[in-house]
Amino acid sequence: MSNMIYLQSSDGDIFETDAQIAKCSGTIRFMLEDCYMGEYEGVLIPLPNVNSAILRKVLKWADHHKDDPVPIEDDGHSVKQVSVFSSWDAEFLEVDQGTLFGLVQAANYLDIQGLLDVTCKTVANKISGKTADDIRNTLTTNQNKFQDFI
Amino acid sequence: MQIKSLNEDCIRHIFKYLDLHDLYALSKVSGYFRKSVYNLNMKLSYSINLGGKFDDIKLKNVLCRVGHHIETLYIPLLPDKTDCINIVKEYCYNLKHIRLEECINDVMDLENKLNLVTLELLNFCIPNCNKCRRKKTIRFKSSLCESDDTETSGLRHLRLLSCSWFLDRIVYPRNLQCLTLEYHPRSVIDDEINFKDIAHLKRLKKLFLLNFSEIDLRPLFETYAENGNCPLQEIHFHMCSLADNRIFQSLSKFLSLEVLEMCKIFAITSEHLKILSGCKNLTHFRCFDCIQLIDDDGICYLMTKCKKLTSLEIYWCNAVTLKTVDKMEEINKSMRRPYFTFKVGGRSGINWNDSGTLPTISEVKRSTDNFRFEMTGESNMITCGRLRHAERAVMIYVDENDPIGEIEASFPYKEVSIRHGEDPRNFYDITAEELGRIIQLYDAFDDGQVITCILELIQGGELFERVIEEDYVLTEKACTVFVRQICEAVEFIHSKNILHLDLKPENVLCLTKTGNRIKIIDFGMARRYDPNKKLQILFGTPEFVAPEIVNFDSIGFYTDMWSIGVICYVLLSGLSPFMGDTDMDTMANVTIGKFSFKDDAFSAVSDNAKDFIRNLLIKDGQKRLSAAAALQHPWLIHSALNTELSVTKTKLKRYVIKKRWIKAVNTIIALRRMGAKLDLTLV
Repeated sequence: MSNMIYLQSSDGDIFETDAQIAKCSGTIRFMLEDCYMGEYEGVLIPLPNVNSAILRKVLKWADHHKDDPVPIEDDGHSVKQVSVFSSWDAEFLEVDQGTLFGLVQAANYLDIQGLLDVTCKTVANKISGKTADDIRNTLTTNQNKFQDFI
Repeated sequence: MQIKSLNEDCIRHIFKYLDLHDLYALSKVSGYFRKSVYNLNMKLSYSINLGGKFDDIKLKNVLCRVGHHIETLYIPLLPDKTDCINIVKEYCYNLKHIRLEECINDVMDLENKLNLVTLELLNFCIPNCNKCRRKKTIRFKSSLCESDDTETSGLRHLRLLSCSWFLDRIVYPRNLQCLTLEYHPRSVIDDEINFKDIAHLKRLKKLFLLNFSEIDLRPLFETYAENGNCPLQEIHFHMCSLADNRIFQSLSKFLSLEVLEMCKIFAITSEHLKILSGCKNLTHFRCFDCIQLIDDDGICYLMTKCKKLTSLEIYWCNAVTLKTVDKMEEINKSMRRPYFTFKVGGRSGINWNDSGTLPTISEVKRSTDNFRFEMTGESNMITCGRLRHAERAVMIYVDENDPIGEIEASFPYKEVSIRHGEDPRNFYDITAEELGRIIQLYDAFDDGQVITCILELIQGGELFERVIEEDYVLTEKACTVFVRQICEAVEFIHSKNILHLDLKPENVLCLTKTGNRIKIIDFGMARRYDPNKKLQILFGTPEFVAPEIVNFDSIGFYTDMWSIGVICYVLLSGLSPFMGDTDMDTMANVTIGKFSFKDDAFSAVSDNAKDFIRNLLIKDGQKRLSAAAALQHPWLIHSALNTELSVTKTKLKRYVIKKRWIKAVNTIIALRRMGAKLDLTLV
């Protein structure tokens, strides 16, 4: 049974997606189950905090991970080490920093724990083990090197 | 998109994957990061190694930015003339666990300033030892305020290894839960170690003792034995010389003791094990390097006497052989323990086979449902007592949230999420038939001490309570609905050859507050019945027991039917047919077996109903209706009249209230007997 729903990005673009895939987002799941009481066939959900480019990426990630087992709660000990994640994720996250931060924010807003973890780990990897100068260089892209954007 | 525009939540999530040095580096990148590193309350725990890497200036720079995030700190070697302790004290104000090695500073100052939970000191010595040895007392913060019961902070875990402290000079913190002490030649001067203070630590649960001699230890254990109320749950001895029976005798009086470990106690013998069998609550016993003085005799004795013992580990003990395992398995079988683990290792069992080499694990590993035997080869054992000890000590769990003050028994509740609109049959294997009229057991757990049963939730309360409610219209038809269900339930359990034997109104519950479906509960007296064997019992509730129980004759399925008759009588009239002033009177009335329908309450009751009761309350059990036959009785088959039994309801109300009253009186009598003082002016 396919249960299609529609997501509207901040740019106004409308994405059609399977409700099961969209439900990896805690925010969307909450809307579908609590606001539409489970009858959500064909509903349109506006996502004013996510733009089209980011939403497209998020949906791609969600589609790839739709069969993942439910993540187990972190016990607080394993979070320290920057663990390796799947090569698909690594490739998926080879994006410019703007997109990466956009994904972090979208994952946080949409409450997608798995995506938040991998994106944050990616950012942490860029910072980890570097001196302050290196970090400054890493986080400053060419175009705005001369702005004190950090 | 910039990192700056991420919200605090995201930043925290990213920081979670960074370590202290990264945070420090970040804090230097820009003002924005310095602020976010400083402000985010992350409560991360860091173990940092300050040995050699940092000089004081660098240390200060790092800690002033990120020190407040540190919860755990490990300082292996302090350079000379360092101000490290003061820097830590100033900036790591959230520090909870600290381990210091080779420290010569006075760390008591540190402890007094911070809210430490764990303090581990290795090779610690007091500066100017010679001068102050007579004067200085080591005091911990929480030991200072002895009268203040509201004190909620304080050390829970103290380890002192190779410290040249004078162990009798320490004033121990009152809330210690775990204490490790090592004897060191430097820690003793001329007088003997005074352990008395330790015996007064009321919350101390785990005690590790290293390298002590029995002369040192005896006063401690004797004080414990005298106090009679020892809180210790775990005692670990390492490299202690224990041969004196008196120490073991003191130990055997520790009823709270659950875990006992003895490493490298070369003189321990079977005799000692026999004395130790006095520890009735011992669950784990581990013995390392006890050479050959322990034999089958001692091990088997310990296992027989300590009924709660579930794990016995013996390493490097030559006298343990396969025969020992045989014997233990047999004892286990006869004692019917739920499970038992026996482990041997090291070079125990030279006699395993002729060649003298150790067999592989697969050859000797054998287990049944409730007996597990494991053998580990030599290589798996760590022989160094200290190493093993250190390893274990780190694993100790110290409960920081343990309330100070009297520890209340907590109500064992559990939070469960309720799944709405789902059929339990999807999750549990219950057939429709079983879902019917009797309470369902969904799951059961046994951890060796406590059996936990997961039962169906029944919300409606007692049947009689429900029928006397104001808005409930009690009719004869309603009574048939209830009685029919009771008969169905009894027919079902009888078909499984089970007798309930305690059927009474209190054990008939309504499934919901509004519905008419009932459930039979309380199978505490139920038993399997073999019709070919004679069964006699002497229990039940006098009002509802059949004459054959009172007379101690053999009972059968018909015994339950009598009780149904009585329930039916009460339900229809609100009167108890055989109730006397005392239990003895009641039982006498039951044996006489005479009852009547003369009361007003029966005026509205149909003849069919009376006939139904007459056919159940027959003294000769064989002549009573069986559950199946009762279901075929005209009263239950033809729908009864919808006549309202208002007289009955009034009487039933009185009946229920009277029961409640009796219950309350009995409770008060019992409470008074137990010494409770009741304030009657409140009633």
